[in-house]
Amino acid sequence: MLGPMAYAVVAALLFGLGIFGALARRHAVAVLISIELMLTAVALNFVSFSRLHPAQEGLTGQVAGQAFAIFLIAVAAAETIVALALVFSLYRSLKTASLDRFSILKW
Amino acid sequence: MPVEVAFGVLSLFTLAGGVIAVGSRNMFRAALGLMLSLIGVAGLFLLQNAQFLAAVQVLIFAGGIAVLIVYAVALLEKPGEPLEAVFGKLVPVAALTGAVVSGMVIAGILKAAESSSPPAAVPARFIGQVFLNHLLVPFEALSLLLLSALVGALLVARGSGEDKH
Amino acid sequence: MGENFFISLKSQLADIALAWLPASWQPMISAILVSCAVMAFAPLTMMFLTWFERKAVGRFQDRYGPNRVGPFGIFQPLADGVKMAQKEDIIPEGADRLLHHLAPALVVVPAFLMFIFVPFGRDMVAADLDTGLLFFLAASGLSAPLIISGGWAPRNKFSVLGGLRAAAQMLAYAIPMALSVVAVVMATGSLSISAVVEAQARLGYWYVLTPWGAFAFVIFFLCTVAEAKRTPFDMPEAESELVAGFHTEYSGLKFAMFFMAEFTGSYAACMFAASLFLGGWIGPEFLPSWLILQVKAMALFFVMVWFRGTIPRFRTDQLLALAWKFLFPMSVLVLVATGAWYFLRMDSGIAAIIWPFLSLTLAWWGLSVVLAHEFIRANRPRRADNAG
Repeated sequence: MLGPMAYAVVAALLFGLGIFGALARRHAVAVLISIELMLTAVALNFVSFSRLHPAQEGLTGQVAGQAFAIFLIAVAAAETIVALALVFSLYRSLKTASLDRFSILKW
Repeated sequence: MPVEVAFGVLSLFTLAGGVIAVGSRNMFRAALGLMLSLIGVAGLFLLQNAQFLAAVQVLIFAGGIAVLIVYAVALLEKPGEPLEAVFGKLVPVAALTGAVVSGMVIAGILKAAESSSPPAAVPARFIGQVFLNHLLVPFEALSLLLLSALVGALLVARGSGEDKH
Repeated sequence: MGENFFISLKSQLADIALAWLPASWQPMISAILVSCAVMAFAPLTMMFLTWFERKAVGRFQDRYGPNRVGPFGIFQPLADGVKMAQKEDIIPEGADRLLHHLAPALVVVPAFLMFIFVPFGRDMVAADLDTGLLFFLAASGLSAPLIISGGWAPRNKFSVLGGLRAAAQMLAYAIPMALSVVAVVMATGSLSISAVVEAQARLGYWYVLTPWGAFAFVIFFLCTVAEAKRTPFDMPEAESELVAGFHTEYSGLKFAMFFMAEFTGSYAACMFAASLFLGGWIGPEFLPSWLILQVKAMALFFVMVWFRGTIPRFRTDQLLALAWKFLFPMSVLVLVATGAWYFLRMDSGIAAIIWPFLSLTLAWWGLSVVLAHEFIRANRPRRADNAG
């Protein structure tokens, strides 16, 4: 029963939750949290589907899936660092972290 | 039977953490819900015998990124500020989009063939060898990315250089 | 109490349980039994360790320590527990009530988790994962966001600052800790802790007796003392700093939970260091293997208590400077030296020991001089007309 499909369903639900959070929330860090949820869901998908291949040496399916998930985690870390730096910088000038106020560049 | 129980419990943790993370009015509880969700996903990795990845997930995501987010939430709160509505104008659109996307993915999944191969463990050695033999250029590019992210974040967060001490 | 006392006890209990349950539940029964054993071991250890620390610190300070509550004060932890349990639970008015109740309970979880990955004896690992070492590092880093939540829950500015300082310290010291553990992984070729202990049994010498191992052990030990926020690194929780830091607003059993997390975490790290560097359960044949590990871990814990009784507290910026400017470059150099050790051993002879040891000692002294210069420069009294 527990094929990769069950895990993929969980990942899809998590991804949907992340999309909801990224679009609906107003606080900048809350949007960042939702983005992290989406990235985690994608990593779960990678690992679940790579399980269909046997574990061999070299760049084969299962090892490639897990290696890519590690890349994903590292890139998520880098992106979080930069995004938080941007949020702090904006907070310093605008005194708020609410995305509704980040609309100075109006035409 | 125990595997299904463990899968059910861990998926419950993951999805509950996700719901708390996107739905909570209190930013701190949202950050802790994210941590719960990340640890649940690490447990799901462990169930599929991806041990190295589960350890890396807890180490970096829950022990690094979650700390950064909790730090940001703790530093960005303003004392005495009334709790503004944390949901903007796009709530119905967002809920619809999220439901549509996950619904499409789940429909696609359920249509595909069901296969339950038993998970085989990947030793960490294989992943290391892949990183150093086949994926060497992306690996070095990743370290360059992390370095530039660090330097960039420091420059951006330091401000424009005026020292108002 | 023979060598296999606990193993045979566990299999007997598992057989009793499996009389009622289907056989496919066997792994789960085994896991539940082992978890119960770990959950029982950790608080009992904490009780013993608090008694041990109070007696030892008392002796360092030329007094007896607790000696009234039983023979040699051995029931003092029980008295402490009763005292903590009957205290009033004060929650500040503007605090987040759920987090205030939840944070102390969550903080002990990573500390207890660390006991699962350490081999208590021959074939006595609670969870023999192939990547157990990495999981240990992950569990020790997991408590950082929980401590920030613990500091934030009472909505007290000083608590938040204490929590942020504690997390910054834990993140800073996690990196040299991980790098010195990587040196051991390089030497063993496996991420499993029982494989590390067995490699030391096979090689015939403990890793601490090699040049890179000695330095890696010292770096690892200093980092675990800092991770557990024990003196001299206990600025985040010291009683005269920031009004006791992140656990200011917790009373009674919640405060005891934070303390339990600190003590059990530091003891698990002592057991881990003993397994990685001091040979774990390897020892003389007439002692059971689990007893040998506890003896080594208690010796390391005594060194931690010795630090507490002897060395004054570091200031926060001195703490972080020590981590980033001294321990982190030193651990990178230890990694290089480990690789060089495995190449130089081809030549064999005394040169293979002398050169890495000399170069690492020189690096240690050089970095200490740089760091001391920085401390002196930071502590120099400023002139009144100096801007900023």
